[in-house]
Amino acid sequence: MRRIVNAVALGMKRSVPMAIAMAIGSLMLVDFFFDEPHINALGSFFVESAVIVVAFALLLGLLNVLIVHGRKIARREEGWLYSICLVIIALVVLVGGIPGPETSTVKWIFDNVQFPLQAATFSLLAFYVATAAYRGFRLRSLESLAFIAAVIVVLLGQVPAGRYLSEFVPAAKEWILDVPSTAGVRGIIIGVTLGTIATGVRVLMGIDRPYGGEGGSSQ
Amino acid sequence: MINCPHCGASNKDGSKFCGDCGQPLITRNGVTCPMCDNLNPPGVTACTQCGARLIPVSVTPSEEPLEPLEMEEEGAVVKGVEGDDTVPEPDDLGEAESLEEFAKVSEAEPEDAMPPWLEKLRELPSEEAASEEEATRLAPGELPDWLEIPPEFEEVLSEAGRAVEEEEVSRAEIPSWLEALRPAEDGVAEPGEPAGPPERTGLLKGIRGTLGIEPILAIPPRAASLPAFSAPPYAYEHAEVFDKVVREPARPSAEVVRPRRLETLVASTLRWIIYLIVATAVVVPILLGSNWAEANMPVTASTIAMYDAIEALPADSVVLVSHDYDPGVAGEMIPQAKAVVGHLMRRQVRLINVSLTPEGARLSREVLDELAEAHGYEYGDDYLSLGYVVGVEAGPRSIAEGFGGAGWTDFVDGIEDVALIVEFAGATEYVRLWLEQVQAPYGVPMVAGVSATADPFVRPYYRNQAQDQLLGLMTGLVGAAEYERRAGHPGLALASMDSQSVVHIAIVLLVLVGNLAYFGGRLRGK
Repeated sequence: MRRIVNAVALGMKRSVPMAIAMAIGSLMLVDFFFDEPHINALGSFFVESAVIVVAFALLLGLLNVLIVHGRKIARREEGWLYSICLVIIALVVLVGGIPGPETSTVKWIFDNVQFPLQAATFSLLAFYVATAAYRGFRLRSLESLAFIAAVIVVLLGQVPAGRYLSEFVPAAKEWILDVPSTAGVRGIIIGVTLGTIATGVRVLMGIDRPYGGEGGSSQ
Repeated sequence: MINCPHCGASNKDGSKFCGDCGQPLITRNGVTCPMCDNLNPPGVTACTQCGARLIPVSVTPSEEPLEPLEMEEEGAVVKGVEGDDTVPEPDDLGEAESLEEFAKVSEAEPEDAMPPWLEKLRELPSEEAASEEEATRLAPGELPDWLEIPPEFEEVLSEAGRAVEEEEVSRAEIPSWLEALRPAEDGVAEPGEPAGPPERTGLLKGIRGTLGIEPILAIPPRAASLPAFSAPPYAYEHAEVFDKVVREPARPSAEVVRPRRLETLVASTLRWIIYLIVATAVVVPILLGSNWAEANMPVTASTIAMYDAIEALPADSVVLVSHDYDPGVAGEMIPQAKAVVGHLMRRQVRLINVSLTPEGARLSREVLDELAEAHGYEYGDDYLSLGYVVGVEAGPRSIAEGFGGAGWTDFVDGIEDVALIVEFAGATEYVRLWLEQVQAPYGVPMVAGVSATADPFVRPYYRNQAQDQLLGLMTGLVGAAEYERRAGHPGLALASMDSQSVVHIAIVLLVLVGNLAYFGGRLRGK
């Protein structure tokens, strides 16, 4: 008897999420392509629900971070001091932001901690790019010649100095960005689009199951 | 179904010719296989489908009398079964400990112990039975009735015999190369065959004259006698020292291999020189207050298109502005937002601001407050800031469908009242989200300002003007400067262009110097 109950439970565990995903996925697809008031209303309802679910997922994410680092601190694992810092700062921001995102505490943390750190980190890229340009752009082959030529033209054509050198430079830069670069990127986008369509069809047909906690793919 | 005797294909009942190979199907004079019911043509000896023999085998009983089977008395069990005809029941074995003991017991029992049913069977070989047996006994060479060849098969058999004879004749026509492959009798070489013993194993079994591989691989090298060797005494001493050194356990070397100091020093110094060049290129034009770029800044077509799209907006129209960036790219996104939102406010349009990133909501708030104060905009009447919208793909869609539904703004009754979407994206995916979830389904015009790193992946949407996906596009700090110049309102972006120009030139020079150093090193042979 227990075996039968377990088998039914396992079947339900697999089939019920699959049925829900297939039904709602198909409905959203129909909602996207057809202008039918009832289906559109249902689609809007599910979109609103998705926003709420994602908001709760953020809370769960925060909870997970706190649990993981709390365990790390309790076991004195490597880097547990950093975990203490993370937990304290997370709690400070959480408590400070409870009244609202525009409180003075949150504003102060953003303006004096988060913004300078992120901006400074990103700004370091300029120095790394400069050293990489010196050390990496070597004229070793015909392909590297084309690569270096494109780099120089785009770098100079991007700024007023390029125009000062020659009218040809900004025009060449525009051509590089509009023709070869766009052609390559468009190929990538088309490939990604086809892959997305295939994935969507697989999820709708229940072949892929990125839900249900069974490791993603089925079979 | 009728199976074709030529190709084996299945054909419908009543077919005269095979639908696959076109050969006639035999329906009357054929022989039906007793095993698979396949209809075979006359004359064949074996079924074309399953290979079962179709004609009976002619058996010639041996003339010699059969030798009686001599049973060796190997065990009492056999004796018991043969001699007494008493089949022991499993229950009878109860008292006997083993089969051998049981056999001894059964041997000792008198014949009276035989059960009545067995007694009846014993009486069977009576005179009647003997006469019946004699009647059924066949003369030597005679076949029983059930093995007699029916008259209708006589013709078939004769044809089959002829076919066998033809086969034997045609054996002589086997080509020589095939004949050479025929396995030979062991040890007997036929005339004309290659010399050498035939292969005994493997795929080449029976073939002579093959290249032997075993002698090459398997024969051990013969030990050759070494010439007389006499080493001087010091050689033995050296060998002992060598043996002692080899047997010693390994010890960590006291001398650590260090990179050459000069090379390390040069590399480190060079790195710092490059950092210094970049820093100088950024700082010096700012300190000098240079504004050379203001007069020489070229404006690209994509930025002009974006400017024109905003310039064409009527007053009091509603524009949805999304600030999707973080502090990492704020250096190029905030000048963009200031240039474009300033232009929108000069056009007296009403603004609804949202953000798909939490940082974007905070950063945009400062831009909006600063510009609103400068242009006399009132929050709630002229512009709104809805803050951070969660939901990834669902976020933009929920914003579009939320207009007029939840009553959180009276600017518009629905997304169709939005005249333009202005997207400021620090990464490509934010542009894609707005295009896929709002621009395409609702047909709202859209322009975008993106960071320099996002430009290549966003440009195809701008260049796809047949679909009206992006009406305009500006890129990075340069795009902001172009917009400021086009709008005639120089700001932070244009002021930064001299620094950026110098840094770009410095990087180009570094690339050239690096290659000169590379070729110089190659010429020196390094």
